Parts: sequence; structure tokens; C-alpha cells
Amino acid sequence: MDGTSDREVGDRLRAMDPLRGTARHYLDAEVVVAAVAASHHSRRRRSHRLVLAAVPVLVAAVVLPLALGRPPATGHGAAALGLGGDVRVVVHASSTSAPSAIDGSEGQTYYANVPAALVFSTASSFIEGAKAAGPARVFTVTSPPGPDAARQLAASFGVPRRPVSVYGPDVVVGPVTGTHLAVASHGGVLRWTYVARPDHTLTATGTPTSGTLSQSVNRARAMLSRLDNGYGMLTFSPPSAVLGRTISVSFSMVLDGEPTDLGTTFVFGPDGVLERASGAVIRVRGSGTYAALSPSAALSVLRSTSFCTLEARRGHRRSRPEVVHVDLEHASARFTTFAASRHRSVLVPVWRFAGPALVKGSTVSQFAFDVVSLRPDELRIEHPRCTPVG
Amino acid sequence: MGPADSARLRALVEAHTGVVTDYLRRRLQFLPAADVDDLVSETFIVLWRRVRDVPTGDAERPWVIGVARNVLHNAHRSAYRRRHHEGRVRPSTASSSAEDEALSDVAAREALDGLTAPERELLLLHYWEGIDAAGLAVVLGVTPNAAGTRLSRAKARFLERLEPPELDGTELGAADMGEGDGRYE
Repeated sequence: MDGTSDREVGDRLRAMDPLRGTARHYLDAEVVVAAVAASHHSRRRRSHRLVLAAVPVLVAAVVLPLALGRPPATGHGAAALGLGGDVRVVVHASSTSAPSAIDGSEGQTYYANVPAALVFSTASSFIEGAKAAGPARVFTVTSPPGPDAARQLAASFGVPRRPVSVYGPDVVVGPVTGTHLAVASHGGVLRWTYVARPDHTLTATGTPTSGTLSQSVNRARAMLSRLDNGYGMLTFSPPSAVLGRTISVSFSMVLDGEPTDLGTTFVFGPDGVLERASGAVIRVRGSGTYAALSPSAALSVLRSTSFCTLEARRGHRRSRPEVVHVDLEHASARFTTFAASRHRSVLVPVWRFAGPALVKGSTVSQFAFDVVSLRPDELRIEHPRCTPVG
Repeated sequence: MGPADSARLRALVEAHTGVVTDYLRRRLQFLPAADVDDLVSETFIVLWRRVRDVPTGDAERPWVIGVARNVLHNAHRSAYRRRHHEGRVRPSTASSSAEDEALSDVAAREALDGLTAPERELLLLHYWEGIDAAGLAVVLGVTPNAAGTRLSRAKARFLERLEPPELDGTELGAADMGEGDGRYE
């Protein structure tokens, strides 16, 4: 087809454009973004229902009917600790495949639903390794201002200083479609993410070698020390690495000698190029000491927990819950972040009980239950607002 | 979803709301014009769910239009089922003076109507939305070569229908010719 014919086709068709000569008016960007956000939240609620129906792959959380409405009586003169809701036991669940290490979600607190009726079994000695409970220290988490932290982190990663986009408390340094550093505040905890582009780093193929693995771990150590901007009483655990298409090297933040659900992760491509990284910028300060719960008492709390469903919570008709047997194999002490309010989080000591979950004899996921290791009368817990499962 | 995803969504909204709105308005057919805003929102909701899959660079706009296309197809299917169920046709509200003007090019309209639906879609994506062959490949999920070939073929078919080949008198049979001096009357 020659150019004249091509032009003629274009002219004739463009002349038929129904919008030709009409005034254009478009939705305001804010309206569209708000519509998307509203849909996103309702979709998340829907997905919880799907999880409930389809049995446990992801997460949930739970409520505890202990100490209901009882006036708090603390043994140390401190006010009872409120954790921003009626949550006392936090459930983590993951598929049997290796969990993603990059998104920093491992320690998120979920206020959703439990996917099934849980039945626990334990080996008689599994709890013996757990050290005895001492006084339980609780820490308040603070973070520096987002823009300051973002700029400092961006400089550490060599991200261009501009453009800087500010979305409320969230900040992105560098082009969002290119290499950038983003920080976001969740309950006062500033989490950051570094993403490297151009995309060739994300599409590199091949398998990392053991040499690449050791190099990556060494590079991650060096980067972590470069990022250190004074974590105060927080330290980092030795690295743990996950080798797949990429190499994820993670360091947990350690507080009072116990691991926390916060940490820093570096993800390297098969060619050793840093693809992504994430972490949190926090400081902690002690906010009180409370009477602690022993591991066996915490296990009793877990066993007596009445799990409830989102449907029940929302007044929907419940379907028959799936029965999931959880074989608890490990008990350990650690700290978990609780968002006490929109702008404030606390690191609370918990006993973590973990093991595989089985449905009809098949392992479907790994469950971990973080039971707040404070005596019930130390906690200010609201009435549960749901109907127990089963 | 982190702040980078939110920022990416916002960038997509700011860059493509106009493109998506125009695309949908042009193809409402029997859907009410008031549905456009909902369809625009639905398009970006899908984009939000897949924000990490959206390519950057030249492929971004075709990809966004591809999503709008699927959203529109779903809406058309739903409307068709509803219309079928209700047994009536909703009157179109999309008429405008520009459309009337467009309809005045009866030859072009007939030529376009004579194409297959895929050919029509290719041509209009190319000339109304300004998407080149590489972008058409993204929208339609075919290879760039296939998109280019189909686009060329659609243009040629449109031209054929627009301009029927001029008839050469020598090719006409005697019965078609006037008597006597051979002049056609």
C-alpha cells in the first residue's frame, strides 16, 4: 500500500471518529484512585472469604475470649497493655513452598479470620527447649520522618535524588518505573523497598551458583553495615539465605537477644546483581515491664483460643469449617510487632508455636502462632466480636 | 502493595485516563454513556491488581488499552445477556453532531461495515487510538509480525471496498455494451 492510500484510509477513518469535534471530559485522577482504593479494600474482604472456603494457604488472625472485659490488674503498677484490638494470638501461615522473603510481610499482624477449625497436637517434649519466662519487656517503635529516611537510603543505594514523589506519609525517590527507593509507614513503622531497574536485572535467567551465593551473602553483609544508621538496642541476626532463581539474603532484627518480625532482605539475581531489597527503619525504647506467661501457659492460651471467621464477624451465614490439624513442633520466644494505633506500634514478646498443618493427612501449609506472652490480666482486651468456628 | 505500586498506579491513572475514556466512549455501542466512568474505574481496578505486570515504555499504553478492551467486552457481554433477557434494546445515547457528520461518509461507513470485526478493530485501534503495529501486538496478544500483516491486510480490504476497481470497457461483455458505436450508455 503506498503512502497516499495509507493517508486516505487514515483521513477517512479519523473523520468517522465519533469523538471528533466533541468536548472531552475525563474523570479526575483522584476520583479514579479513590475508586480503585475502595475496590481494593472490598476485594481484600472477598479474598478472605475465599480463603475460608478453600482452606488455608494464607494467613489469618484470631481473637481470644480470655479476660473479657475484666478490669485490668497489673502486677507491676503499669497500665494494662492495649494492642489496638481484640487480638491476643497472631496466626502466620504459608504454603509449603518457600515463602517470599522480600516483601517484609512475614511479621505482619493480621486481623482477619482463621481459615478453618484448628485442632492441635504436640509431642510431649516439644516445649522443653523453650527457655523459662522472665519479666516481659515491651518496646515502643519509632521511626524517623519518611523523607529524611528515604533520602538517606536512596543515597546508600545510589538511587538518583530526583524525582521525589510524596504520597501522604509515603515517599518514592527516583522514577517509579525505574530504579527507585520507596518508604511507607504502617502503624508508625517505616518500611522501605529498593527496586533496581532496568528490567534486565529482573529477567536474567540461569541458576545462581554456590560461588554466587557466598558472594551475595558477603555483599549483603557489606550493604547492611552501610545502611546502618544507628538502630540503637537493635542488632541483626546472622544471615539466612534462600537459593532459588534469585538469592535472598535476610537478616532479622534482634531485640533483647530474641528475634523480631522485622529485618532486612537483599535479593540478588542469578548474575549477582542486586534486584530488590527491603527493610525497616526503626528505633525502639522500652515502654514497660509486665508479668510474663510461661510457654506452657501460652500453649494453654492457644488451645483455649476460640477462632472466629470473618463471615461470622460480619454476620454472614457460615459454611461448615474445614478441620485442620496442626502438629506443633517448635516453641520459641521472639518479639512481634503490633500496631497499637495508626501511628504507633509496639514490639511485644510472644511465644511462637510452629508446625505443619494437615488437612485429611496432607501437609498444606506451615502455621506459626504467636501468643502474646503477657499474663492475661496485663492485657486490655476487648470483647471478641465474632462467633467461634465450629 | 507498597508505595511504589501506589505511585505507579497514580502515574498510570494520570497518563491514561484520557486514553481509556476515549477508547471506551468510541465503542459504547448500546451501553449507556453514563457507564463510561464505571468502566474507566473498572479498567484501573484491573490495572491495580496487575500493577506489577504493566510494562513500561512503548508497550504501556497498548497494554492499558488491552485491559480496557477486555473490560469493555465483559460489559458488552453482560449488557447483551441483560438485553436478551429483558427482550428489548436499550436506545443508544451516543449520537452527536460529530457522529452525524461521520455517518455522512456513507461509503467509508459501508466499507468499514464490510470488514470482519477483527479487521475493523485493528483499523480503528490504529487510526483512532494511534497504536502502531507493535502496540497492536500487545493489545491483541499476537506477534508484531502478525499484527503488522493483519493491519496491512485490513487497510487493503478497506481500500478495496472504499474504491471498487474502475471498470475497463474492454472487459465488459457485449451484452453490457450499447449497440452501434460501442459507447456505453
